Amino acid sequence: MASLIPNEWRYVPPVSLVVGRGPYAVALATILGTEAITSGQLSAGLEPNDGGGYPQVLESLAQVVFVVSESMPAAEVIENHRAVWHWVGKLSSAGDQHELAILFVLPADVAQGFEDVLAVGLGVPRIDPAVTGHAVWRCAGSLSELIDVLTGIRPMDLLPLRARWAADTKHTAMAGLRATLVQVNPTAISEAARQVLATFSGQEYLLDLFCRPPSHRHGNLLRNWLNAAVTNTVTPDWLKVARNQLDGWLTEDEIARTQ
Amino acid sequence: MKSVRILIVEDAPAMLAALGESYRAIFAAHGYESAIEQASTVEDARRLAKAAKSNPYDFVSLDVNLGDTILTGLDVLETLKRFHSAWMVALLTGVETDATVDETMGKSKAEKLRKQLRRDAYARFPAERLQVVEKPSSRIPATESQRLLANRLEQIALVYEEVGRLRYVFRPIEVASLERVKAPKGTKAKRKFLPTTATHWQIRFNCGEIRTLPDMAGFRTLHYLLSRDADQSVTPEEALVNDPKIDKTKGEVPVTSADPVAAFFEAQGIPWKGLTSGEQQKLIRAALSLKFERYGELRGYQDEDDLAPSEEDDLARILRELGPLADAAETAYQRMKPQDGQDARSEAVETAMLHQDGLHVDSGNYDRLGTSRRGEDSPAAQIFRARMKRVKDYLRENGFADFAEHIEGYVQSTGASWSYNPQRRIEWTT
Repeated sequence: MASLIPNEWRYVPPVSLVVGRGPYAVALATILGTEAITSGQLSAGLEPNDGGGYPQVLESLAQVVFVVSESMPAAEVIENHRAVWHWVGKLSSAGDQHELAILFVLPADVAQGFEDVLAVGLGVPRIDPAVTGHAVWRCAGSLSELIDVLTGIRPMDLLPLRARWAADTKHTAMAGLRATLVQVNPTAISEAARQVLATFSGQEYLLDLFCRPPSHRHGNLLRNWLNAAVTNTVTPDWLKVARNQLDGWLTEDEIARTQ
Repeated sequence: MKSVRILIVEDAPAMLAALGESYRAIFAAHGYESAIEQASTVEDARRLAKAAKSNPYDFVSLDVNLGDTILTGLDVLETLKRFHSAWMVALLTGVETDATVDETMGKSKAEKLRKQLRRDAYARFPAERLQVVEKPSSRIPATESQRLLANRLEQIALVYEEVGRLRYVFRPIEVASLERVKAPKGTKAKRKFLPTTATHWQIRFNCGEIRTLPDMAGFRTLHYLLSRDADQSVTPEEALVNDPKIDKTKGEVPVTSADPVAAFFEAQGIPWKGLTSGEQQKLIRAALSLKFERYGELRGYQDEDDLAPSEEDDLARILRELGPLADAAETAYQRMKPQDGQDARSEAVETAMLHQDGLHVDSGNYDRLGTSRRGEDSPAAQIFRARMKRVKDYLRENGFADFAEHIEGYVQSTGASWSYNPQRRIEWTT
């Protein structure tokens, strides 16, 4: 069921948004004078009003803070990021060209590898607040540090990110796989699967980033499927089943959405 | 002389200067005075495009390759489209004529690239207002290159003039809506809605922005747009704000009296001073009669702090139209509105009646019959909630926390049923 737009946004359009659950997210939201929304609310999508439109309640939104819990996989954070942009796309007249400063608040002891995986999901070499519009902050520091980091991010819209995805080998390989699914060409599918495996070679765990939640489970299914597509003979019947399965596992093609 | 606001986006300084001079000369030859702004990076161009939302450029000359590793002129084009910040765009590309592309990529691949570029451009901006223009090849002699460039810019200016004729497109549409109907006098209920259809005007403004305006407002805006130079950009806001100008331009009759009411009638050709006081009063009443009913209705909502944003606009429009008669309308409204004392009495009686009904099993958690549309707990609902809290606290204190949770969960799950909202009022609530 789609999420209802919080009623108070209609009266006081939010400038900041906190995504996450738990006491930290709620406290941070209170400090920033907004409300925390959960992954569930975000991923449920939005309910249009009676006329089929959406109220432009995120026109003033300038900052989004993702509070990442210890148990949250990077793929889920990226999924939330994607969902926030879907919301902004509908609830702001600037759509994907709405400028935002985005901060990921990570648990203090999370490994550097987590940050690197986030960077892969965003299609950037590393998360740099001056270049990418995103920053990472670990819970170990003080709140004033967090505010400093947040205000130091150079806001950016989605176009530069999309351009990066279009130039990134991992994103393009996945886009290629999605594109071949609409074809009835077993050879092209096998080739696209081979291309994906080659691109993610040694980093197959990153395929989770391109899967719908539960991303790790879907990632496992995708990895098995890719191996099967490369090693087995792809028949039209198999392809028909595979197409439905992949629709359920894979996230939307963000590159194609722009074109 | 007509004016044209131009943005030139080009990363090569020499080319930027050359384009500036050429555009100025060519548009001047067509009778336009140019105001030129320049940007040399994608970032600057996108920033200017976003800022031009309320004041769009008439013409943007945009280079595709701007030396940015991530974004190109196509992204600037997307921003111009999204923010409606350009009327017409000329996309200048070097790929079409650059022979090195053919040499390095091979002819067929280069051709594919050219086609793809055009496709991408037309997918990002309305084709009727976009020209994809080849820059002269860098391999041909400078003088020839300048001559070619001047020719192409001349063609752009001609197309600009032609496309200018399409600046405002409009059509009448039937709009189904719910009209608010005020509740009968003497009842506490507010209003109900009735389905209705009305003619509206859908106007597509210079950069593609579409506004739907109700009958008269639409007519006035169209009239204003048609009375202007077709070459000038007008934003919807400007057109709407300038709406009263129509009356002003029409009423260019010199003001013959210091009395604004007299001036108002004299501007319409009525010999105000020659009328008796009774005739003048009758005339004021007649002038007010068309708008007073709606005015009174909206002022009533305003007094109840229940005026929707669209109604605020409506009220402002009526006040504008009434001009100097607004004071007379307000006096009449004050005379006709119910006295506060009566209102308070009826509210007290009403509340007492509602109390007798007790907790009502029906939708809504709030007493929507209070003075505010947004709703607040009715006294009965407050009593109910307080009682529930006491019960739950008692249970928790005596070791029945689970049972308290159970009750809380139950009340929340059936929250809509535990409210004070008599059914007979529902059809009148907003």
